[in-house]
Amino acid sequence: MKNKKYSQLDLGFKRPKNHMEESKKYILELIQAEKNAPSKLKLASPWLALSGIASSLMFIFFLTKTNAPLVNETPQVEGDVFVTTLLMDTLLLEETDLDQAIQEALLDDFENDLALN
Amino acid sequence: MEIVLSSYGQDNTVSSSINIDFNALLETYHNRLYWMIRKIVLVHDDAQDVLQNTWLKIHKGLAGFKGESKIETWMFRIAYNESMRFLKQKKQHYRLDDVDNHYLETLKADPYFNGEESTHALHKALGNLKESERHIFNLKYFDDIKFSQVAQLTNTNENSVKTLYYKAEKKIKQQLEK
Repeated sequence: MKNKKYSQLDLGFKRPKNHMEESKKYILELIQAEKNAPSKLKLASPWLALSGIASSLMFIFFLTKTNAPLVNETPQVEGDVFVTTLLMDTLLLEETDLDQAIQEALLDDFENDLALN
Repeated sequence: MEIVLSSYGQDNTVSSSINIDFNALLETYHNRLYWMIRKIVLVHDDAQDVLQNTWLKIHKGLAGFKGESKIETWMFRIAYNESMRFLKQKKQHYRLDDVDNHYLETLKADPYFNGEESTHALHKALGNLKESERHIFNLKYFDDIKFSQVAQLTNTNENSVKTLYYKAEKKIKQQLEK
């Protein structure tokens, strides 16, 4: 390596005739075309703005329509839930309570039978 | 095509405005960038594609160029990154360990490659290098880019670049003397 300095020519790479000039010309054309073409963002910007405004209005409408009743209804809903839970509690019978009730009923029957006899 | 750039001082304040003529850059660096890219991607058509992307990125990025590094280094870095991006995409089509084995096959398949025996020996030696060693060797040896610039391009420490370069040079020398 130190004795001989290799150059790019030694790598055997070739390229088409007039490649450099044509390539430069093509790149300049590409850049010019990109400059002339309106960007997607520019094209989309009126639509973006419109959809932004529409969604903001929808959001505000939704908030005004739904917030007030929700605030008013909350205590009522809470009350309903409380009453339902209370009712359910009264309907539920503990196993021990049930046993006790059966025992009392049986005892009553026994006393009644005894009195009749 | 003239682009006005702001030159930033060390305190990041705009100190002056500089004009960079894009056409002048294209005229000066087109050939150099092509050869730099070609040695990385090997095939002429691929090099042309990467070169186009590189110039488009340079054109887009010029307005934001802060002058923190030399414009030459900045452009080389874009070209290097574009070449690496291309190779990464190409690697997705091959098994990772097959990529280096494809070095000679890729060259031979290119119609714009002169496959003489003398060039084969040099490419065989280059093909035996690790990819990172080969890129660093090419940038320093053939493109004549300074170690400090190569370090900036490859995002590597300058000492590591020197170590990799001398290691690659030794391997190539041994291979060519066989």
